[in-house]
Amino acid sequence: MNRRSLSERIALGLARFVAGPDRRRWLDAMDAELDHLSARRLDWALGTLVAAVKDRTARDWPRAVAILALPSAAMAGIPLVVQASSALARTTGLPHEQAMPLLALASLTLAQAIGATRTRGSGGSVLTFAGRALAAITLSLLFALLPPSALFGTIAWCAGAWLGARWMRADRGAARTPSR
Amino acid sequence: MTRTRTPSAQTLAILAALAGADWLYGLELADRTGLKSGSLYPILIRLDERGMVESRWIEASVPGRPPRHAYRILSAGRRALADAGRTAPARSRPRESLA
Repeated sequence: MNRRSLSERIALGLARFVAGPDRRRWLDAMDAELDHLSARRLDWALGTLVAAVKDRTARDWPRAVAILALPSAAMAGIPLVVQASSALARTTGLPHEQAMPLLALASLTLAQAIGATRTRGSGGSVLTFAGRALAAITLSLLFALLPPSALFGTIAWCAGAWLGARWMRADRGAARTPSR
Repeated sequence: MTRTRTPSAQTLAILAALAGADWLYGLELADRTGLKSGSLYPILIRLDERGMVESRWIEASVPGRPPRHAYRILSAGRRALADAGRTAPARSRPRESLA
């Protein structure tokens, strides 16, 4: 039996994660074939990952859309919020130092909305984390470009995400409480 | 309303390969159809769920190797293949997919 390379193991591990427990038998099937291959083994392992993505997308397309939509919304939404608040600061004639808290507050609302987002099922927490991390990086980078308050973005993000997550937990708690 | 879909060229290639043999392994199917694993298995999963093929684990002939998943066409698959042959007798070989 050929010893598996790290890249083959990573590809197969990712494929199992993407496919989910419902497809364990099929992943075992693709995995078993790899042991009967002597050449182009990485191609087969990567094909297993492609197969898992295709199959999961076909049967679970709303989550596949969410995987693309959540980070995209974070990437697109934050610059829009910052741009809008900058325009507001310009029209009201606010000096740069006073405009920064306005930007932070405007971004905080978006961070709160993304912080309240949570997808369910396997891979949901990873997706949620990826969306939030992308939003945090974007926000931090944007504020880093606007000195002197490079930390504003991170603080606004953390505060917004915390508020959003707290709000969502409170909302779920209220939904679980039986009415009398 | 149930929508009936015409099987793709790749699906028909798999069914045709299975129709010409008894049990086939995934690697053998990939060789016979020219499909890569990334295209082959999603189709096999779908065909299995639609009752067109059946699958089972077969002990490997070489000691120390794991059992292999093998596939066989069922009557519903043969019917789909025959129907497709009637409606489109001259189908081209499926394109090689990227993965």
